[in-house]
Amino acid sequence: MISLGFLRPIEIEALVLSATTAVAVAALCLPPGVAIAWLLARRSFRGKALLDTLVHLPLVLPPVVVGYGLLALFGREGPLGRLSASFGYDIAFTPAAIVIAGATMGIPLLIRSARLAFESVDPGLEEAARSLGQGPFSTWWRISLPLARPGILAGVVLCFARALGEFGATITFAGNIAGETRTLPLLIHTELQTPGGELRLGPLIAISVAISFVALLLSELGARRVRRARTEGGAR
Amino acid sequence: MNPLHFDLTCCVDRFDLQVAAEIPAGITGVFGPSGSGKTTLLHTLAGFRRAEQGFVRLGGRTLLDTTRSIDLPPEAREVGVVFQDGRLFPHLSVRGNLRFARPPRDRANAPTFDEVISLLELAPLLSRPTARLSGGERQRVALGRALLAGPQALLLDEPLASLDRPRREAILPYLRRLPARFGIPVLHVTHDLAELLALTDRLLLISQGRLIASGDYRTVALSEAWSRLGVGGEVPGLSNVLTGTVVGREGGVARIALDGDGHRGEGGAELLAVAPPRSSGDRVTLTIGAEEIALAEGPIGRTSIRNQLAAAVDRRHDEGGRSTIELRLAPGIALIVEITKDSADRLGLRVGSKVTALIKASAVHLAPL
Repeated sequence: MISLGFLRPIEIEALVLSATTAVAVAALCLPPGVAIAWLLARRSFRGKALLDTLVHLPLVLPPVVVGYGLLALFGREGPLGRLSASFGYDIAFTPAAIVIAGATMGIPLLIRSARLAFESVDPGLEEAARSLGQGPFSTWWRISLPLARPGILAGVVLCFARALGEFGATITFAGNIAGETRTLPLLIHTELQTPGGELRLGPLIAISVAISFVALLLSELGARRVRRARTEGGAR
Repeated sequence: MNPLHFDLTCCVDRFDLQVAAEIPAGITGVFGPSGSGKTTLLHTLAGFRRAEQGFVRLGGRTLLDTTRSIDLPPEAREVGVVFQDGRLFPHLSVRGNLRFARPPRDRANAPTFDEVISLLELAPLLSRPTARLSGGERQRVALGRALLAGPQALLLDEPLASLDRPRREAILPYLRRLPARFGIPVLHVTHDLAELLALTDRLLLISQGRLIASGDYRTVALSEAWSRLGVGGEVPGLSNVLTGTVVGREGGVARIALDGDGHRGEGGAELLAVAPPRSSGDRVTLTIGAEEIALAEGPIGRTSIRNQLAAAVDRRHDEGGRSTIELRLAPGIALIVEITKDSADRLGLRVGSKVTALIKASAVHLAPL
């Protein structure tokens, strides 16, 4: 493990919070993201265009608007907020809100990448699998999913990176509470508001750049494997 | 055994296919110009495409019956498919591909893994990734995979089309062994007539989505339907495929005793063929284009043509300026010959005419049986 001795406690706290919530976002988005991506890639159904639009909405809306929408849903007065309050949980302005905000902003990237990956799987292979006596689920699990895996992993990495860098929806929905919901980007923002704070930002910005760089690299490697699989007829 | 019986009208979108047939156990060729609906027919039988109307019965089971709303999914049909491109799963090894096939639980006669491995000689390939297989090896794996699912019928969709001639000839013997072991109906789609004849004499002729002729090759070849297709130039020239046994060599020429009436090398007729060295006793197929054969009233004197075979005209079919003649060399040995109608008239060919068939030794193509 790299020594984090050069960081101050509040920086370590923000880093750990960002990393854990971003990992939670990636894990939480994976199953529904893959399911929706497969539906969009392989099925035609009523409301497909609507689902497609809904999925892409967070990509084009101002993040603050998304955050406001989440607050309206999950806040004390929102329908889902009232539901969770009846079980004794508050969501808005807690770490759970960071995860929900990150998931909302990150899942479109996961779905886009996974959908491309599913679309690049030759339907002929799925037909062949069926004629060999395997049902639809077994065909999906043993043929479609493994062949789409590089693209799905690339999408997971993008989703993770998006959650890590999420600012607008998070500050609106989760707030900027020190030691509670102050993630890495929020800490950077807070420091910039403080006179002389920018002088202490070097390590934080270096870490942000490093994480984004590694994430993009992993994602590109995954996408390249999808492209290669497509041009070589799946040979590897 | 278990015939494959169908009557289909297909498909919902654009292409119009209407074909009914009963396919007995053994290999039946499906022949026709490209775009005639051969592949559509196979995909509908396999359950990949929906039929508008009709039924498919296999043995005692109904796979499709639109009047009774029966439409089994592909995995429940027990119909094996081998595709032109093999469709091997790229993320699995050869062994993984073979193991993927799932035989139905109640089929006691499904072949075992070991049996298929030895039948198709797959043992040396098992641990290889599919990307490192040659075209012929890919198709052998695809065939083995289909057999391991214990199919009650087998559909071969131009499985040899992507292979060059030597590789194609190398895989034909494997296909030829299928009927004896499995006793199931096999539909073999191709647009290569010689390849088809090397496997079977029985064929369905399909054009523009309709079955226009079916039955024994020579009957189909002399039919109205065939010459109608030929007019469009979409069907390659007729061909003859015979089988025989190498009985000797003279210089660079092999002497082959032809099979007749189901007896090996006992047909009474022999042919000389220019061929790479083969040892006596080798079983071979002989392919001779119908236009490569010339006819004469009787034996001719000094000539470079090495084969002069006495024959009788069994049938004659004229179409346009062409004559298609079926000759009988000996019981069970027939040849199709294509000459101009003018030539046929000048020889005065009628059913029963005695002629001599002239075939250059270099016009006889040999392949292992």
